[in-house]
Amino acid sequence: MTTLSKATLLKALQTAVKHADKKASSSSWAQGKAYELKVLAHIVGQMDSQPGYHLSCAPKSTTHLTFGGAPCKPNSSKHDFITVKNGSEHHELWISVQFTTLSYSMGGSAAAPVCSDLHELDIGLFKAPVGSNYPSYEQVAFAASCKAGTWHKVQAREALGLRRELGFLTLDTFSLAPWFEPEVPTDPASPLALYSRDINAVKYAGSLSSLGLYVRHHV
Amino acid sequence: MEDELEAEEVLELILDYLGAHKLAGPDRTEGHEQLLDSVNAAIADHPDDARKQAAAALAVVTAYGMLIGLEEFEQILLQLRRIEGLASIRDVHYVELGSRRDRAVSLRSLLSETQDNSLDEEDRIAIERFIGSTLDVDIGAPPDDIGGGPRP
Repeated sequence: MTTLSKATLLKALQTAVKHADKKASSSSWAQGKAYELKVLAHIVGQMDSQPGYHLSCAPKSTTHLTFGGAPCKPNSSKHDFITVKNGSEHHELWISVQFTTLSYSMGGSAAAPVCSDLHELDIGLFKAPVGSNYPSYEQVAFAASCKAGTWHKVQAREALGLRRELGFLTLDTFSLAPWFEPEVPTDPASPLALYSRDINAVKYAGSLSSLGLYVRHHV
Repeated sequence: MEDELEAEEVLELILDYLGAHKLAGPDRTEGHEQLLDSVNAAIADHPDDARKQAAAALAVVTAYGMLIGLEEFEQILLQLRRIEGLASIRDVHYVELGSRRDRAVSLRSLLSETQDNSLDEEDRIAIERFIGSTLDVDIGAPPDDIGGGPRP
């Protein structure tokens, strides 16, 4: 039976209590963004390691990247995005961009989308060119939601709602993001990843992948 | 060894420690309340299994102990600099578009100089081994492979 040193546990507890106040303060937002950036770096690393993939970016400033700080439209004049090319396939990787949902499409409304017709993707890979309007769920090739804090079951439920709005459930199909998952049981075949720093997330990894939702523990 | 705790003792110590702090009255903080709530939620996922409850609670405690500081931020930027066109980036700004003026926030300016993580590598490995064996997950594998499907 595995045991744990009391000294190690006490150190972990002291650190957790010390950080608990910081997490409840405004630095919580910064930690969320820093984790999102960490996942972005991980994702671009995965793509970049695939043969044939080429990633580039033309930032507005040579010293920093500029992303949307809140749910937004793609705005290439103010926000940066990463271009992903693989042969004739071109995609754009955006942060915090909202897409128009499956339910909005099914409703057939000609009216402009309202809040219930839009959902934000922490990290979204879209078929290029994205343009300046909200991209539709059909343009999404890969989506990621990033959770820097502790795992809560409600995060899985939230992601399942997002999964619903990204496409229909179907048989396994060749993935639009094969560098992440080779096959995805949805139409469009866009995998939705839910990244968490908390190992407790792993308990939810199994069956949800049969719905095209992939829970990943990434520290 | 006297210093080595079994799962049930780990759980007891976590609850005692957080409970003791919780009872500190005026010193009780919102952050501490959230930590305790998260620990209790993780425990509730494993009814009637004290060993798994201990591992789940410890996972929450460990997650709370991780903060991204400037050192880790530099490592993240190093990875992003490999992308063509990003060789000289040193920061990331987040912009909220306003009707009159946009508001930009520098992520670098909000992160701490030090990681402030008191756990060393040996502690982290011991904790991961305890959680992995008790929750029956393979933490030794690359993290992203946990629960994932076959790799391309």
